[in-house]
Amino acid sequence: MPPTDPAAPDPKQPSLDALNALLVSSTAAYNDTDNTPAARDAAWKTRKATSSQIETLDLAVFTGNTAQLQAAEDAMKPGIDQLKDLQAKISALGEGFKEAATVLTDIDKVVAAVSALF
Amino acid sequence: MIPSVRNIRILLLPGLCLTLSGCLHSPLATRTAAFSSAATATVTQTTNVYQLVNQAHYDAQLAALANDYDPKTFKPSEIMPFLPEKDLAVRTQVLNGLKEYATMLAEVSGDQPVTDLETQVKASGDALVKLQQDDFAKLKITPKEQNLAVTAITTLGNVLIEHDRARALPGILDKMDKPIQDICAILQSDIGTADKPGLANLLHLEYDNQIAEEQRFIDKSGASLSADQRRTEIQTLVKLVTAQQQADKTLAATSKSLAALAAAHAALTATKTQKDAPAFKVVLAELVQDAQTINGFYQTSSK
Repeated sequence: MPPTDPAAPDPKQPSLDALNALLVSSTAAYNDTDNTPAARDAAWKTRKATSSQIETLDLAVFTGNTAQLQAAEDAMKPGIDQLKDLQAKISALGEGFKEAATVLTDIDKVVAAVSALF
Repeated sequence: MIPSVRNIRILLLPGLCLTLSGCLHSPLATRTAAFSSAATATVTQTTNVYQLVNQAHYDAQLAALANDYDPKTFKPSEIMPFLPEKDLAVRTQVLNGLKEYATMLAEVSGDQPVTDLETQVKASGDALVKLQQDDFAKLKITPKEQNLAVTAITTLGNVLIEHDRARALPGILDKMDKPIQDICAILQSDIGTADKPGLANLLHLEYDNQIAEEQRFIDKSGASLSADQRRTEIQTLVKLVTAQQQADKTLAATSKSLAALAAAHAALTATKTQKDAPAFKVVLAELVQDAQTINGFYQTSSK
C-alpha cells in the first residue's frame, strides 16, 4: 500500500469541517449568558458529543496509518543490517591494527593491505 | 653503522603518512555525519508530539472531571492515555529505527572509528616502550619510534576505514531512501494540520476543551470566587490560549521538519558521488533551522 500523501485531499475533511462548525456554535451557545439555563445545558451536551466525534475522526488517521508505518519500518531493516555490517567491519579493522602495533615488524601487513586498494 | 631494516621502515613512515593523508575523510562521510545529527533532533521532536497530545487530553479530562465530578458516574478505568498503546509502540519502534540509523551513520562516518583505532594503537605502543625484560629486547621500541609507528598505523587504518565507507555508504543510502521518504510522509500525515484530520487538529481540540472547561468553571463558581481567585482563574484561561497557539506552531514546525528530513536524505543520496554538494547543504541548513525552531517552542511551552 503506498504511503499517504500529506498534500492529498482527505475524505474525512467535509465531516471534520461540519463538526468543527458545530463545536464553535455549541460553545458560543453555552457561553451566551443570555440563553436560558436549559438551552445552555443542551448546548454543552452538544459540544461534548461533537468534541468526542472529532477525537474519533482524528484518532482514525493515526490508527489508520499504523500498518503502513509498520511496513515502512520493515523496509528499513536490510539497510540497517548493511550499516551494522559496515560498523562491525570498521571495528574489526581497529582490532587488527592493535595486533599489528604489538609487533612493529608487522607494519608490512598494514602496508600490504593498503597497497591492495590501489 | 648500517641502518636496520626496521629503522628504514620507520624512517619511511612519515612520507607514507603524508602521501596518504590526502585521501582521508571523504566529503560524503562529512555530509552523512552532518545529516545524522540533524535527523536525530527531528526524531526527538516527533516523539515529543505524542507526549504532548496525550498530556493535553489528560489535562482536558481532568478539567472536565473537576467541573462534573460525581462519585456515582466516576470511572477510573476511563482515565488512560488517549493514543492507543499498540499504535504508539509502532511509532516508537519506527522512530527508534530512524534514530539508530542516524546514530550508526554518524558513528560510521565520523572520526570515532579513527580515534578508537589511535587509542588502541597508542596503548599497544606504550606497552612496547615500557618493555624491560631482556627476552623482549627485540620488540622494545623508543618513544620516537612509537610516535612514528602510531601515526603511521593510524593513518593507514584511516585509509582502510575510508575505503570501506566509500564502498558501502552509497549503496546503504540508496537502500534507505525509499523507506525514509515513506516514513516521513506517513508521520506527516499522522500530524496533519490544525484544520485537517490528525494529531494537530486533535491537540488544538484538547486545548479548546480545556479552555471551554475553564470558562465553565469560572461561570459556575463566579459567585463563590474571591477577586484574587477569579483573577488567577482568568490568568489560567489566558495561559491556555497561549499554550494552544504554541502547540499549533510546534506541530506545524514538526511536520515541516519531517518534510525537511526526507528532502535532506534524498539530497544526501542524490549527491553521494559528488565532492561538493551545495544542494545538500541548503536542504540540511533548512532541517537544522526547523529543529532549532521546534526546540524553541518546547522551551517556551515548558516555562
